[in-house]
Amino acid sequence: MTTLAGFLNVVLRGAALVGLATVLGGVAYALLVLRPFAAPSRLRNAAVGRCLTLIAAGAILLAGAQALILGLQPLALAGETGPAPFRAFFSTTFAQAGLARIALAIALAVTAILLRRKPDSRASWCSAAGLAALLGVNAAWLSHAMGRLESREVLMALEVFHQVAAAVWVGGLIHLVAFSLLRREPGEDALASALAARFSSLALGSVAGLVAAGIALSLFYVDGVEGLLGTGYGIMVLTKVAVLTGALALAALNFLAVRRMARRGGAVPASLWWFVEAEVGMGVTLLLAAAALTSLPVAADVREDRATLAEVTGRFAPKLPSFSTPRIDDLLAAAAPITDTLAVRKQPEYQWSEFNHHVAGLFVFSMGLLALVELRGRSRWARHWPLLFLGLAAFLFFRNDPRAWPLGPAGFWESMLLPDVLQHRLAVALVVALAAFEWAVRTGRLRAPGWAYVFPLLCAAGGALLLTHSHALFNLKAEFLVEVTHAPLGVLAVFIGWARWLELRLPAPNNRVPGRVWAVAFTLVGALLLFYREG
Amino acid sequence: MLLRRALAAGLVLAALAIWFPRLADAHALVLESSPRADEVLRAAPARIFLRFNSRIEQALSGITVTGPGGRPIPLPVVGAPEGAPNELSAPVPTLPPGRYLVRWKVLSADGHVTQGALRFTVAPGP
Repeated sequence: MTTLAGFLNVVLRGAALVGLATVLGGVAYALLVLRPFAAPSRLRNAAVGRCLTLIAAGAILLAGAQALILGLQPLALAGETGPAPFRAFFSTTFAQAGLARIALAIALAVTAILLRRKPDSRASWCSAAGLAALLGVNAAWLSHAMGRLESREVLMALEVFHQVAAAVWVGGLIHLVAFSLLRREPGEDALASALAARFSSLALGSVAGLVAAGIALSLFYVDGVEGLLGTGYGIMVLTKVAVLTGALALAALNFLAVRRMARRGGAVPASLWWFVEAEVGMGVTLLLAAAALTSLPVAADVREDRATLAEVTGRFAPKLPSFSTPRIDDLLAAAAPITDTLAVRKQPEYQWSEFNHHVAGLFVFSMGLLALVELRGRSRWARHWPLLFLGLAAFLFFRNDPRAWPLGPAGFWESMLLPDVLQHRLAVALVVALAAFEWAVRTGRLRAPGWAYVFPLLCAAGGALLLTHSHALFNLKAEFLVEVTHAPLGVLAVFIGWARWLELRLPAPNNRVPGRVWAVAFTLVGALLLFYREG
Repeated sequence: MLLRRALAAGLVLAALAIWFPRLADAHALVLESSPRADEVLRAAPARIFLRFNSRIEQALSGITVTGPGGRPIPLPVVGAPEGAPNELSAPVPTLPPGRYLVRWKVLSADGHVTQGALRFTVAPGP
């Protein structure tokens, strides 16, 4: 139950952060960008209405996610030592801050709904701003800083600053996408241009605040280069920086487009809205990564299990892939039964896993190269590359769990009860689905445009989630060294997803660059898998 | 159209369900313990002591010890005598020689439930 609760806790914290961003970003966007008290027009009224609906939805998401977090933790605490301690749990500061967050979010949802009926009520807008400010401050008591032994008040203030700045930026982007989906009639471009220009300034300030507070927090939590590169927390901070850099590259393009527009006049270029969509995707990835980061011990505290720089760089040193695998009998003789979740992995298991990664890398690398060939436009046969996913799925089906059916002694249904095995089998089914859909899209068998977005969405979602780590009870450092190479894979998957998204959204020839970006990133994933090592 | 959208949404959700269970909470970290992990003791310990990297809700923490018999024994958890907010202590009944597994489950002050384990051995007398 505790492991499942830990997983759900991170999911729910991620959902709560998305809700918080939609609410705080929405209120800031409404008051500073949309300006509800400016001269009314059809488009402005529609935009204010949509913004308020989104704020209410975000607040409900926030309240719901927080309620589930509070309901789940006592259940996670139940076990060998007694039943779920609901009464004791709700006397903690964390639970009381959570209840306050729920009350504030519900009050803000009601205010937003009332404002929809009377959007020119200054008193209601003041209430919304006040409630949003309280929600921002309340985040301090629900943050990592609450558990710290030293400098707690300073860290709580920095966490609030960091979270509010992130919320205003990502939440504002969400609201900007919602605006872009509104129907605009001829002659209504002026409002769109004004919004883009004003949001550009707001985003610049938010990102500056977000980065400044992030650097300050890192000074407390990361503990230098060794902590940055030798711990799961440090690697997660680096991956957040990598995704933020990608998002800021798109933001910079939009910033320049807005500047050009201000100089020359004219309408907002359509590409601006599509870049904002990809920026939202990367922004939400950052929020999910932030939620996962809270589940890790901060780098400054990880001393015994910290990997050295030499150990980490050793994992990335190129080494020719090995295509030899231990025999299944040797592996089964050395390894503990699959049901022993506390067992330390043995050498044949590492070799088995390395072989799996290398063969999987061969499949992905080949697909990446074929995708690049297809992009050249001269070899129509190359568009069948997604069929290689089927070979990958068949390979994974047999090799994923050697201690379970079909190779090992644990039966099919018996091993299905183990989360790892269930996860691997679902992954195989997903790879088959990916092959079928992407192949059908590329060969024109699925013509509805929506199907083409399945592949990038799966890549982006999968990459965002791969950015997290699993943790062994006993050998934290060994697990970290195994998983440190997963971080660049996750970042590349996020870039593949959103670059492919842009390739689909942008008209030719502007879609060439994102097309090449995702295909190269896909090939790089294959190369990383080919050079993967566990020992 | 609805069926297609539902199928696409299902695919994305399946991906989330597959990848997300990799997460496990390991937020509170044991910085010091007595006995130490994999320590071999000449005599049974009088208590289990754990010092974490973060503040712990002591009233909501649990420690069990499992011996060669395989049955976990819940231990009465008390805070550290000095009142440190990141320490736990639990008196242990007399343990015969053998290999033991200590499991702990705590709630850190920032709301994360964390569990962990360490092994120690009580060596047979001379």
